[in-house]
Amino acid sequence: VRKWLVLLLLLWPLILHAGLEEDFHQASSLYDQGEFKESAALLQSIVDKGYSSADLYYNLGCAYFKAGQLGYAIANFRRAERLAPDDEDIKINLEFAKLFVVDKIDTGPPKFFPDKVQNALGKVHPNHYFWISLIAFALVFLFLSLKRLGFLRRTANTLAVVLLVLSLASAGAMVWVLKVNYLVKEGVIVANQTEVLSGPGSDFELQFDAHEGLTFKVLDQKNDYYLGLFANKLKGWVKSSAVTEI
Amino acid sequence: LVIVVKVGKILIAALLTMVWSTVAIAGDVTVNASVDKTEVFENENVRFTIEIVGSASDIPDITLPNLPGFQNYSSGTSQNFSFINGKTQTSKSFNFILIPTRTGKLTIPRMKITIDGKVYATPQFDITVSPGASSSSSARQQSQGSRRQQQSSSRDIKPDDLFISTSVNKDTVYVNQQVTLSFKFYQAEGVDVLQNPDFKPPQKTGFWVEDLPPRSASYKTYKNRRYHVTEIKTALFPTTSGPATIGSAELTLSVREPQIRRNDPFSFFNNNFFGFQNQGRTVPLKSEPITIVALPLPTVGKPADFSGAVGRYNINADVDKTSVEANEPITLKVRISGIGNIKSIAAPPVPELADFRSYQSGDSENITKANYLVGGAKTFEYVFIPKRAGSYVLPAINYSFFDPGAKAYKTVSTQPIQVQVAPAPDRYASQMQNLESNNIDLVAKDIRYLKPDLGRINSTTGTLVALRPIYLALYLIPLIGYFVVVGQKKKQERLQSDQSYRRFKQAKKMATRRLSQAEKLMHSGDAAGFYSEINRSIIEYFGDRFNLPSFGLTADKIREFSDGKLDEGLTIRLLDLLRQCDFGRFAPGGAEPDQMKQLWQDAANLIVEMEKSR
Repeated sequence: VRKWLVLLLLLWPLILHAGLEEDFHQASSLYDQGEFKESAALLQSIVDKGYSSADLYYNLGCAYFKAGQLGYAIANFRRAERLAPDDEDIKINLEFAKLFVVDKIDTGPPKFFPDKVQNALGKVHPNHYFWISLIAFALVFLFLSLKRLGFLRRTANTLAVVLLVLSLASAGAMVWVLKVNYLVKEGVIVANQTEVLSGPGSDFELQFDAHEGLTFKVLDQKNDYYLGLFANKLKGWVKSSAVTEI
Repeated sequence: LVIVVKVGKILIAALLTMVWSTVAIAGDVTVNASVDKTEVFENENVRFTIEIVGSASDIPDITLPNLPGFQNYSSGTSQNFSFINGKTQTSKSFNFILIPTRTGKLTIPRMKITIDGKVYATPQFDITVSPGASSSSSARQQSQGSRRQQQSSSRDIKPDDLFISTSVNKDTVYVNQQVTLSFKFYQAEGVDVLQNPDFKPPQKTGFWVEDLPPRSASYKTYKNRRYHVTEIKTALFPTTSGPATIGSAELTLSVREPQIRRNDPFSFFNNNFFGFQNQGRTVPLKSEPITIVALPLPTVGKPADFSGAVGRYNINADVDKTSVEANEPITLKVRISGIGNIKSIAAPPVPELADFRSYQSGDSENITKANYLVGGAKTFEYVFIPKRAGSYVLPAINYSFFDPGAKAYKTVSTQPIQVQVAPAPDRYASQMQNLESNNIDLVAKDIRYLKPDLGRINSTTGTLVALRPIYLALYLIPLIGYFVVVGQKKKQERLQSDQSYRRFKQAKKMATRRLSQAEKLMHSGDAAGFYSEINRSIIEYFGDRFNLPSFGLTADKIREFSDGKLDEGLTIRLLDLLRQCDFGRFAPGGAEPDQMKQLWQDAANLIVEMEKSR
């Protein structure tokens, strides 16, 4: 009996995964039938159980988009992008969905860091940078050790220097990507329209009206309000019931 | 006069309203009562009106009790609703005709009316009834100059003085074909109706009803009498096949007795313009019901797209523009016009077009009733959105109907319409430039399709490893590995380069080796060899430890050298061991096995202790 229990415990994740897989495919066929709301609800139930994957968030974003819930669509595409920053489908759908956001905020003059480099760096997940950096770091010492032991006397130092630079660069890229894309809390407006106020409370003055799908960086949170930093450096407080956090 | 006004019905209504008034707004209610005159002749009547004005939630029906000296009739109620400042204002009037039955002073007593739990009272009215309809005109405001009053006694209304009739233009029609119902009210000359009659139109179950205004009035001669005829027409469309009955029409009126002097050439004027002797009488009139037979539509030759329209129709189609850009909507208006039940016309089927998205956006109708025939036009609007550039044809739209005149189905069609669609400007591309990523060629018009698989769930990509100390600790592994390698390498190099270091490091190793050799010799019984080996192991160990040539190391030299470098006790034990070895080596046959064992043990212990002391 104990053996069977152990086997069941070992197989449990597989069984669970099979069940999720079934729900996932059922959601896809609902999507095919045009039952977008139902498809989104089913996928959301998987997420609500505590599971996550880039493809899950991606499909959920698609279903929300088709069901007309632009805010949730953008939020889920963004969640998918965080898990798989190199996935082109996710990127394209995210950009496409953003076209439907009513508020077009002018992002101002180009940033110091050229956009192309920024984009290219952002395409790699920070975990990948971590492993690249760690492996390069290990190789530095492998080559130094080999030299000590009398191998590769001529090239070992050069290789070690190159690898050390690679390791440091990779670590630097990781820190940068983490800081820009991961360690910031983001919020997406899911209400059709909501007020952006000068303080955390309805008594404060209206700065502007924000619409569904607008994304901002969360700087603070107080009294059921988020302090958001919008694309044009504008700050304002948004009621948390109108926002989903990424 | 004590008169109980409250009838049971009112009480129940009042109780109900008391309950309701706790919820409903118990608004201000006013009750007004009035009579049209207080002085009448014997054969005149009094109109008594009770008006209830206010936001009462429920107004009870009011019936008059028997009033002594009067015959009373209800002559109907009228009700008005108005919304003022969000409140419902209701005004309901109850009209009664009171006919005095005797002369003298009569009284309409105070009456209590309960509305929403409150009791209201009407004032008392005194009515003076003068005998005869004679000369006194004091009660009349309009005093006519010449009167030819007739001292006529009451005359009964004859059936041919007033009557109503209903008729139809056809008694056999097709389903959904118009039947014109005509209601006629014949009023003989000289018979005057005192007030608006109460008309109850016939029941028209099983028909779609369309009123046909205007009501017409004319004079007709019927059975040698001139009648004033009022005619009301209604169009009826049977909704199902089979017999259908139009019920009786009822008309209740209050008339003045005819005052006709047929031979008087002025009788017309007399009676219609100057008569004032009123004797109100309520006359109920009723017509006969009519049965119509509705024929089913023939099944032979019924077009597939027939949707039930009966009549005579035309169809035409029109677009708002014939040249557009892709994704720009075109509005197609399809107008169906003609004679028939326009309101029941269903939208004509519009073919699905592969190159267009299309949907119906609304309809409007315009009803005409010329010559008492229901007709007009219904317009259906369709929106077509071309998906891509090109030259397209919006095909003809057909509409089928049954023509009852020709007793056949007919189909009318619109003309096909040519439309030119120019390519759409790429709106998305221009917007994309403002966005962060300009390395994506986005020309898509929709989001990309779903992913086929769930993928790795809860994978490590979900967590950021850089934020976990255990992963950061992995960086130490190559560092540690490197220092291990370096340390090993250094040790090896010193062993190779430094002889004294090497001897020092390997002293114990060599000594152990010699001791195990000595053990072998001891077991093989070679006593001389055993002692010699023990001796060498000790001397060489000492030489290795202090980097001295073992060759020529004598007891004296050992004693001299070990002074201050080795523990005194150990030195003594070492020298003692060497002495025993010499003794055993050279003593003939003095090789006791126990002794040898003891010696070997001592030698081993000594080396262990000397190792400890380094």
